[in-house]
Amino acid sequence: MSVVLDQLYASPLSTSIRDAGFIIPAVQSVHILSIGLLFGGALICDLKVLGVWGVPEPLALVYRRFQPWMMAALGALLLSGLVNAIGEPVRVFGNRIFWLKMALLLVACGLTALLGRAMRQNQAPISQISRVMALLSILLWVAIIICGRWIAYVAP
Amino acid sequence: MLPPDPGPLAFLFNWLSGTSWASAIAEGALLFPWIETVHVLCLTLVFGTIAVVDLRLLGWQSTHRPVRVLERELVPVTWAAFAGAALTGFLLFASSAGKYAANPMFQAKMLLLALAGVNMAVFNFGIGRSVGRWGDDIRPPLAARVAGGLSLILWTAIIVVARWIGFSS
Repeated sequence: MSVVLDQLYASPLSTSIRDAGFIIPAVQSVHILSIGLLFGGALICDLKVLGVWGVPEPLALVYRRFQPWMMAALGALLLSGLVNAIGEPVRVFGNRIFWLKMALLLVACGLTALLGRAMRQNQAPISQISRVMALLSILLWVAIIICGRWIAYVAP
Repeated sequence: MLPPDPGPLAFLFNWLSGTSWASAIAEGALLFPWIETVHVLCLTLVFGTIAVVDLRLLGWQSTHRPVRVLERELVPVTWAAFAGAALTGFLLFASSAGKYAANPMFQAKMLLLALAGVNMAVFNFGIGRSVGRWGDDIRPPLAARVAGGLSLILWTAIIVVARWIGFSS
């Protein structure tokens, strides 16, 4: 693994990302703005499912309003994260917190898709399982953001 | 010859970073990253919630929902998250106050934050007062759209220059 990462690090693409000093901070800025939109949307959806916040409205409407933005933000997150990782492959791919973050992301995406289906079908009252999923979703996104920040602090 | 007078602000920053709690943040291995993590969590919520309101003011999103309902739902969350971001941001600043104060990206961030505050005040004391009249309109009046657009641009810029603080000196 580390040989591959060293090769990637030495590759022209990775080198030019690092050498152009603005690319890494620029993609990290996009990354933070995108997680703001994704986490904001997910939190609003989750809190509406839980029924503990905001003016009640059909969940299908909430879902329809936020789903396109959350998908676009996820796309921007993956793309900006990929550029960042190619620029610093050892610090990212060689980092166990990064892989923990990816595992949590996979679970969060699956959960969001399931919850999205329940919201689209818009059954009222929403099932107990959906509520548990909504609560879990909030915790997962918080954990993902924590992991994201800690990649920088845990040595590869 | 005496060195140039550092001025009262430099004196204040020096005192701030010399306090026992600020030194603890600067020197401990865990305090700074954890405070920074909470800062990031708070700022994602500031941006994620204010963006929804801004996009509504622009008439681009949530157009079937009254502006007042959106404000009532989201602005308290924005404020709570902003309070958390401001508190954690102050703690991070205190750990190396002089260094941050001299950083051009940090200075730009403070200026942009002030502008975002002015924009919000202008909205609240101006077109925002008559939200009851236009708040159901799909396309709010020009002044409201300008306020929403400016807010979106300013908060985006704040996050961008903030990310750059760590890359510049």
